[in-house]
Amino acid sequence: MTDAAAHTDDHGHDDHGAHEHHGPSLLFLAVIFVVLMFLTLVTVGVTVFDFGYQLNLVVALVIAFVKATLVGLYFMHLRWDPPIFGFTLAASLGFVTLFIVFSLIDTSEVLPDVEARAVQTASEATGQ
Amino acid sequence: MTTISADHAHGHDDDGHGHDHHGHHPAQAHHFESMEQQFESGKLGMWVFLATEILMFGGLFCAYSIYRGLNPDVFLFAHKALDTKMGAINTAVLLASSFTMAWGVLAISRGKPKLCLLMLVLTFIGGCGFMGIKTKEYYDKYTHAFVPGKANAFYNVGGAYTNPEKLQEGVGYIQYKQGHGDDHHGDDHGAHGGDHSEDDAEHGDAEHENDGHAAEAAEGGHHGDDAHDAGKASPAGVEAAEDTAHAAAVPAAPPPSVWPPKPVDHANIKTPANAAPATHPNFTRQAEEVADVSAVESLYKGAAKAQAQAGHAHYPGSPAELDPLSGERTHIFFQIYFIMTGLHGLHVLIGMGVLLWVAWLVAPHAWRMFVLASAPATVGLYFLIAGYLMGPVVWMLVFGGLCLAAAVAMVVMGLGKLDDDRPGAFSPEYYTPVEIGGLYWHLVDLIWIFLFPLLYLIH
Amino acid sequence: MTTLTQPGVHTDLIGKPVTDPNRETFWNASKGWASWAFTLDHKRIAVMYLIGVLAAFFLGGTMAIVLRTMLLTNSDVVAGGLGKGPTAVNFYNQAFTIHGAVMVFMFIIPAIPAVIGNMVLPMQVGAIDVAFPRLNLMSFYCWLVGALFFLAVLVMGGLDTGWTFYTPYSIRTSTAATAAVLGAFILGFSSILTGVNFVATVHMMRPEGQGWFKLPLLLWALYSTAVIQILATPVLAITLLLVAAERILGVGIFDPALGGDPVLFQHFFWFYSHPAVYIMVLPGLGVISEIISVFSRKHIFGYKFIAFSSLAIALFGFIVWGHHMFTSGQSWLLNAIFSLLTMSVAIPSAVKVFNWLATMYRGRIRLDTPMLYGMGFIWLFTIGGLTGLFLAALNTDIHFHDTYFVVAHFHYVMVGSTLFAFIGGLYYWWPKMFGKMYDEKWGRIGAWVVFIGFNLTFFIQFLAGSRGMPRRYANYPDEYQVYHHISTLGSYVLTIGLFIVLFNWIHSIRKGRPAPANPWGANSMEWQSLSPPPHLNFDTPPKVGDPYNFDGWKYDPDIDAYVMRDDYEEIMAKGQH
Ligand SMILES: [Cu+2]
Repeated sequence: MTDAAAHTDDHGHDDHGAHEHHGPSLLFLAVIFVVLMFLTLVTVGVTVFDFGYQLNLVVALVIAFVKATLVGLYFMHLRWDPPIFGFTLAASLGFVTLFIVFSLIDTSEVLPDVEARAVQTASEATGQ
Repeated sequence: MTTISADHAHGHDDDGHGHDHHGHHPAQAHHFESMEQQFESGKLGMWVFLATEILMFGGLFCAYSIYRGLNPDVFLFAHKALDTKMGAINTAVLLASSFTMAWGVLAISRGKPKLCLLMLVLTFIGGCGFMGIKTKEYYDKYTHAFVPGKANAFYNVGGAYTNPEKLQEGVGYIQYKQGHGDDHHGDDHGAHGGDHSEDDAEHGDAEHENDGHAAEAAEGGHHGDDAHDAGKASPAGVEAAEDTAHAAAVPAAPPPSVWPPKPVDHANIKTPANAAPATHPNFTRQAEEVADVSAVESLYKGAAKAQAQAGHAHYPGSPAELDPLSGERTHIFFQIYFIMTGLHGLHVLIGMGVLLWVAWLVAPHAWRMFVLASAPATVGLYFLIAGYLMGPVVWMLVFGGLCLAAAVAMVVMGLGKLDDDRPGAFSPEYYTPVEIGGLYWHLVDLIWIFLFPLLYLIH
Repeated sequence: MTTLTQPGVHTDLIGKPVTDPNRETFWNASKGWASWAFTLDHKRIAVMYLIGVLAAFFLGGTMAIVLRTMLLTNSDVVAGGLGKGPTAVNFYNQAFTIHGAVMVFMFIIPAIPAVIGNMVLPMQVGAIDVAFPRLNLMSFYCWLVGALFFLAVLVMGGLDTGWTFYTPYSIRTSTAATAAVLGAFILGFSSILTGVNFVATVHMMRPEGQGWFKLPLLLWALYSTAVIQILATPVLAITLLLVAAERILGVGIFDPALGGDPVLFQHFFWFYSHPAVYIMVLPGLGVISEIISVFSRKHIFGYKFIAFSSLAIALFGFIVWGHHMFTSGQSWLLNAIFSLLTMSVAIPSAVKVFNWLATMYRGRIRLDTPMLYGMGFIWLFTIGGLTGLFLAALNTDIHFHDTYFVVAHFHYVMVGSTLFAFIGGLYYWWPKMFGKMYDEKWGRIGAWVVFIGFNLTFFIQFLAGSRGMPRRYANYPDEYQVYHHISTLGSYVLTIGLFIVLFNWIHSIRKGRPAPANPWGANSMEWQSLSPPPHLNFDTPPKVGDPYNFDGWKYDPDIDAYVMRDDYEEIMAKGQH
């Protein structure tokens, strides 16, 4: 008995033929693809609107996350697979976030010092 | 009790991979109990590997976040060098190839190897398309000295730009793109003229700023010739002029620019040692003692950045409008761009290799040589086209021709094997390589889904 | 030692002599160099890794002795004939760099997972092999190629950045830093592949009946280690690639002269390297959990606490990296956060120590060689862990940072603990691996000499460091000489001890008594196979039970080993006691 098999059981899929895939239908995949293309257009088009530097980034990231979720869930079969796979993906994203957040806290706190250094070197470089 | 079957434990397979004779699927490795276990193990292994890929790119995203978060003006300014249209097309190409990949997995799981093969080939072509467009983009960057490393137009050592001529051309190109590329950017400029003055007044001592500009202008001795020069001078009083200049004088071609505003001190360039205070671990503290931060900040026109942070779109016309730190860091945008897209491109190439391998397995034996031939054919075509467009470059053309010849030879060999009637390696019972190869391909797509807006769509 | 009625014969699970002289073992299952070079057998890969990491340990150890010898004197007279002029100082810088880099990347990180883990992990889940045998072999070759890079570094002008490769110095140095970072990059892949394999194996290959809580604690530790290897090592990979790009192209992301941020490098580096400390020590914690329980003849105390504390250490390990950067100009907000978070790691570590002590309490303790190392481990790990709190606290760290206090602390944790677990674990699984018993008396003598030598070397460094002796310096004021003398003396004693261990092993391979199937009466599944195991690990399927229920085995003085009771399955079915 393996975890993955156990999880599949939990999900109550009935047929356990060796590799009977509970995958999507072709039509469904095509719909996802169209949605993804549409979202790509949206993410380009939305730059016409100026929400501000931060908010535009947020909008772009939200769209990217929606696209990534669609690819993950349906193209990569996470929707039908044992949860451990999706968990692996989520965990890796979580640790990347952790890494970025801590590093960003530090660098933004010391930014004034770094800027002052840049001003100093610039003034030295130009002999002011 | 344990489910390790006795026949496994007693079997003696010297190669350690025996296809044993106990009625198992021939593809089942001896250390797995069942095909199901083997399939799920393979997928878990691939997912775990994908996690490592995400963490590796995560490091780059971290560097990206920090430089973008702290130097928004750099990213607003420098990203204009990228071609949004190309990036968008590439996104679409990669999404399409992801779709065909998913279709291929669906096909083989339903027992349609030939359809699967077709889909793998289409996916492979998608990869070729992506890399082709990427090459074109890289080449465009290369012609404007937006390159990785020291030759970059904005390369800056110890506060001084090291490639003044290239810098001039690069700035001109970005200004040109700013005028032409996306029209709405020009509009934004006009719309925010008023805000600018307010912010400037709020932000710093206007007099100081004017002083700073005067000093700089005097020193550079360049001010006042054409519209772009006006664009460079951004104190409150000239703000309106700047905006008009930008909106009105959309140049027809990269114009001769007034760059550089400051004389480049070549003595400084050769001595990275002038960064000595910076390399000292305590440089930040030292710097604080030397310079009163707020005073110097206003002196050096942090206005553009402050506005960007406050949420107003302001596109600096030239690096002169960037504060000193951003000036130093402008080239880093390009370094990050090239490292991220380069590493991603490398993954696309590896993915294409995987696709080829999987396609070779999927194909009936009679077709395998043709699948194999597509590798030299692709490389050959790539070098022929690139070699022609880039010059023509003789060695690329010769190499491309040789590769094509090899492909033709392989096709001819393949023609002799058309009567081999063995089917491909996969069936609905066993197609792990298609599935996990697909997962890899989708991950490459996933990463691009983030790279595209983050690099091309900065606003 | 008991007089054995049947000396010189392997015995099986029930104490019967194995008479077949041509019995197939993984050693003789196939012959020729190619059968080793291309083997997919986890046991052979473990043996190859063992030879590799011991060679790396020898190289790193030689450097350690060289630099300790140089530190005997602070005068200009002699230190290895070089004096302390610029040449000698340069040489010293290279010696400690090579010592650190080789020990960390080539020895400590792969040692326990790649040798003991590879040997034991598949057998402890009753499997024939790890999930991906080819990746396993590839992991070994990655290690080999990475090691060759480091050898090339030695030839190409050495390396003087310290094992940490801090920018901007590592960008500017004229030594072979590019080759070194690429070597470490490749070694990282070796580590990642091992991790991927272990995760998949533990998840997918367990037999029916062996739930997560029937796993030996070594597997929990190796699993947690694998999680770190998977999540942290890629960040090291990209960090090293960026450093290589800095050196080759001058991209400037970490170079202040080019507008980059050198402290960002430290974030990158320590995001990997603090968790890497747990890559080094977690497998050791797992080994010790096995040894303590088996040699106390008592069920491990607080199984779930130990199991989850491994995972907790792995996860907490990711949120504390900034404690290496308290004096680097890191923001004070982050300093405070990291100081606080670092304290949290003490909790799961202490949970383990208390559970081991509770396991030993009122057990029937056998002071065999592995157990001596196990108890030594508890001693060293406790000292190393508690001194870590001094370094986690912001105010004391400002004083201790970059002194010998830090050197002593991490040698207690990484070297003391990991090395003790590695040697102890090798002694413990030695009979299984090589099919030979070692000499118990010399084993114990060696353990004592190593223990005394280690403490002599490093305990004094706490004192030197707290009095201000900075690390990584070739020279020092006279007042520190006495500390260096004692420390160097200790390092010689440690070396003697390690040679005793080595000779004991060599002697065992050549002259050792053939090993019984289960010399220690342990109940994890690898002991249900013959020593050494056959190519496919088990001749008969192993029986699944609680790995810490030792009631199913009884001691047979005739063979000085444990044999399986007839009613083993009933005992296992009943559960513990
Ligand atoms: Cu640490």
